[in-house]
Amino acid sequence: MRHTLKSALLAGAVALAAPLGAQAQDEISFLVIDYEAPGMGDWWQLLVSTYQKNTGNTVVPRNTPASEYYEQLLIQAASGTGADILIVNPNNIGEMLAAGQLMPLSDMIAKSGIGDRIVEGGWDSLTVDGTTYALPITGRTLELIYNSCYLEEAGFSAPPSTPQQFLEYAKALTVTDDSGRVTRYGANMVNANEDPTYEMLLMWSLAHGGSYSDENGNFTLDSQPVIDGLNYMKTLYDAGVVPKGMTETDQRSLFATGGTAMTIDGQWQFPFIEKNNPDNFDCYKSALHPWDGPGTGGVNMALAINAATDTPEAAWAFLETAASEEMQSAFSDHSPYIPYGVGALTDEQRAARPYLEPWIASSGSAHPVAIPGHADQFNEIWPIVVDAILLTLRDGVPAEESLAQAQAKLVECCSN
Amino acid sequence: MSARRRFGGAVAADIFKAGGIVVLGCAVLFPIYWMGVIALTPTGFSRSLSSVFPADITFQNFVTLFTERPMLRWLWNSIVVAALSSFLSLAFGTSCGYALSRLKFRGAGLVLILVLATQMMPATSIVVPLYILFRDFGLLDTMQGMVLGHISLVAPLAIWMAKGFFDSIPADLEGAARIDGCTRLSAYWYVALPLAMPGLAAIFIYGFVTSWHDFLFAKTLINSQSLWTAATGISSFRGEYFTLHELQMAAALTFALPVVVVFLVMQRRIVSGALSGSVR
Amino acid sequence: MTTHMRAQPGERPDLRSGRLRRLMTEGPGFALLMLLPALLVLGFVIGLPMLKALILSFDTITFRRPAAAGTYGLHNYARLLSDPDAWGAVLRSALYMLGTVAGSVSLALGAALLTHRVIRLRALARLTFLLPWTVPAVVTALVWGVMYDGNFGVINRLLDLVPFVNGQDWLIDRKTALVALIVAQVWNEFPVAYIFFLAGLHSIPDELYEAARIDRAGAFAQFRFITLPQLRYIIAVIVILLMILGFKAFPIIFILTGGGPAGATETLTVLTYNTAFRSLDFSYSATLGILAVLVSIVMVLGYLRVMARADTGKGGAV
Repeated sequence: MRHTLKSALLAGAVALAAPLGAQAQDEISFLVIDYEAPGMGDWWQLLVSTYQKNTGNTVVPRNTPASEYYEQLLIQAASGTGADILIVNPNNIGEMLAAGQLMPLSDMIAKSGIGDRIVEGGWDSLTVDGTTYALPITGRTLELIYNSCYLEEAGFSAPPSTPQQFLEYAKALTVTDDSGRVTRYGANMVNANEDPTYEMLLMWSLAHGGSYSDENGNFTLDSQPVIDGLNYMKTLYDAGVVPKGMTETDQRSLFATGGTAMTIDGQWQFPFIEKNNPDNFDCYKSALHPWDGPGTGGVNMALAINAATDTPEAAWAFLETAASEEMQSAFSDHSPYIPYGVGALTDEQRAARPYLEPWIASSGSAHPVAIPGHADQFNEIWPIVVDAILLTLRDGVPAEESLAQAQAKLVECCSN
Repeated sequence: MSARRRFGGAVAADIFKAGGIVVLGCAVLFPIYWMGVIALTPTGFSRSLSSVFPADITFQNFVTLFTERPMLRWLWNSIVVAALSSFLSLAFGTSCGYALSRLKFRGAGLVLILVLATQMMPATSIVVPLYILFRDFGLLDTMQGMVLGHISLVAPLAIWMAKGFFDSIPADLEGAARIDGCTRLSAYWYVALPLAMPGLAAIFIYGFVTSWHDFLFAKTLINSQSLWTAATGISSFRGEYFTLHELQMAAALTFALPVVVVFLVMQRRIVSGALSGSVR
Repeated sequence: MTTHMRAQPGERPDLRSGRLRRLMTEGPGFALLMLLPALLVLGFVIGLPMLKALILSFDTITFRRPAAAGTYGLHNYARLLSDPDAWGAVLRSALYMLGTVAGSVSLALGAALLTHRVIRLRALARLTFLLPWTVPAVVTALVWGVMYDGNFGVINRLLDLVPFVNGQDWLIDRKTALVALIVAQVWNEFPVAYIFFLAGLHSIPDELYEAARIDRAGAFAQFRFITLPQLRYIIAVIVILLMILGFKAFPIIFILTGGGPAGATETLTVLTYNTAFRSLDFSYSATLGILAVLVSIVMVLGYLRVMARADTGKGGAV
């Protein structure tokens, strides 16, 4: 009640405010992920300091670690204590909208002309029913990263490029000690009770020529490609070449410190390895995901404005700063993510980070993580899919059976 | 003959007992030992340890903890919140505990049950309404709010323990003071309170440790990383973009150490405090 | 009432006015003066939230359906009665309680029996079994989490050394997760019982054992016919205390499994938390919270009864 009144007033205020950001000494809060982490955190800090310098406003960062972010976003929104600027992504934007938390940005984007500063298609996943709600900042897909030193030791001269090869490599690269316990895994594959596991099956379904839904938005979890994908995961799991039950974040540090030979993950691995395992950094190489067809991914951090903000002009000016050429061109000096600014990634920056190439090549064609048409239900859908995956991997339920159950649950809970 | 057998049996029993203590003791101490081993292993490499002894010893994790993470800030927040909430709880709780111990009034039993029930009920039952109330009062994500939240954990404990200590002090002394013309209040203030001083110190430490250990309130009532207590800060290490066990264990040790030291110094008093009828 | 309140912040014995002074320092006025500050504070930090919880439990406050707020009724309680997740959580809480009580009592009793007559290195022996108590639950969760890891964890490594025993994926396997959590919890809280048992064992008169030895009773018979009966009140008190601790348990479960895998470790406390802060259904969470309060009140009444009996009964020096 208070909120609707407030946002109506604010919408008016925004329309009236002529030169944006002209009103100085505002204070805006910013829910930011890993503000102090090297790389992306450096860019967020640069953005905040640039904005403060340009506008005279103050930004109060509410730093939250990646693992707490989603819970914090929703809890703060639910209790009406949300920050003025929020990081959102296509997986939670629908949910935030349903609760009336996001300010529509289309008018301001049109007026300011920043629409063209973002690469084509960049706005798409942040636009609902023709209205855009967030500015895309970072993109990511999952590509192959491998420890080339281990591959050479095992006699492989090139990285795997098909699922079959990936499996063979993983087997050959797994090392056990005298007691038969694995000391190095061939590959990472998240299979813990968390949403990255959902994306694993999506990847291997794409690799087998399918996906979680058809072009009409109907769920196809019981289709052959998804069954094949899960059976493929089961093969990797049963072969003992992937760590079992380990969380995504555990697997990342395992890979970065040499405990795994290959992973399919984001580009953020590289700065982390550079920092924590510098001696072996040169061993780590990247390649396109090992199958034909798209990888998974898309926008993973976008900036939105809280519908209940007291300072919409100051908040909008923050988004404008983020989209500015100055900030976008500096993006890749800091962050390993793929930026959405037009021409933001220069040849020089690409030369400085040669490992980025697979992500650049793949980002335009990536398959979205949330099921198209069901993005606002992502947080209801992923647990159902992950339950099915774990049922097959851990309890040996045939893939057909667990996926048929999941399909039935999805149809019941989330059909349009 | 029979005396010798009895003697031999006693020695065997002693050896058996000593062996039992050593085995059980090692098992009980192992997790603490293992924390130390991992914390002293170079960042990222504890998984490749091949025995239960550390391979390369490094203190780098502790350096990283204090230079690259806001560990000092978190510890400081913990200290402030724990000191304030246990001091305030003590201030309110002592007189209440005294009244419950000495005065006979209607409803005393009910007050006692209520106090005990609030100490014994799961904190998850109270944290949701507290969260919503604090939101309305603007206390969410503030130190004041967290101190208040921790008082709800510590105060019942303080009252209950204070009652226990006063119960153990003979009322005769106050009676004598009353005969000498003291009011009840001055008998409390000048006679009972000084006698209970050691007990009050124990209550303060108990309250401090309770607040220091709290995870739920700190996690729920605080959003900003800069206001986190050490408990929340440390738990967040599990689930960062990259999970580093070595750093996590270094942080865990740093966090646990002050309490261990306090415990070593005050062991006797804390144990008698626990026996006086309340536990955590 | 207001006069008491006004006088209350002083709390010093040198009240000037004669009548007020008499009122505040003697009789009911004194009782009020002593009780009021604490009761006011408790009223604010516990009474008010409990009231709020009660109101919430009849309301419909959820993030995903903001429009439903203000719809009062018994719907949350109706849902509770027919919610298999809630009763499953109650069952898991009960299992968790039973497991931690059984584990802590046997470990603590064993340790106390081994150490209570130790003379050399007595302090060290005791410290060993008290130390886990000083470790915060958060830290307990983290270290056991690292040790339980199915791939590289030290527990599986050590089990490799034992013939015919296989490592497990402790925390991610539905069959082992709850037991694994119970073990961590027992490790953290058994010292509480240990303290009580040590005190209890000390209070048993030596003459009883001497008499038994003259009658040639063996060690087991002594334990069975002297130690256990003498400790029965202490055991009763400790069992209820540990039940309450087990019922309250939260950080270890929440950090290690969050209630997973597939709800296998979702106790009532974890479900209450998750309903509020994951599903953002504050009203239903408050309803679950009230169920938990009712259960703990029953346990507290049981505790007080046992305590009263232990105080009047013989041999239970608590």
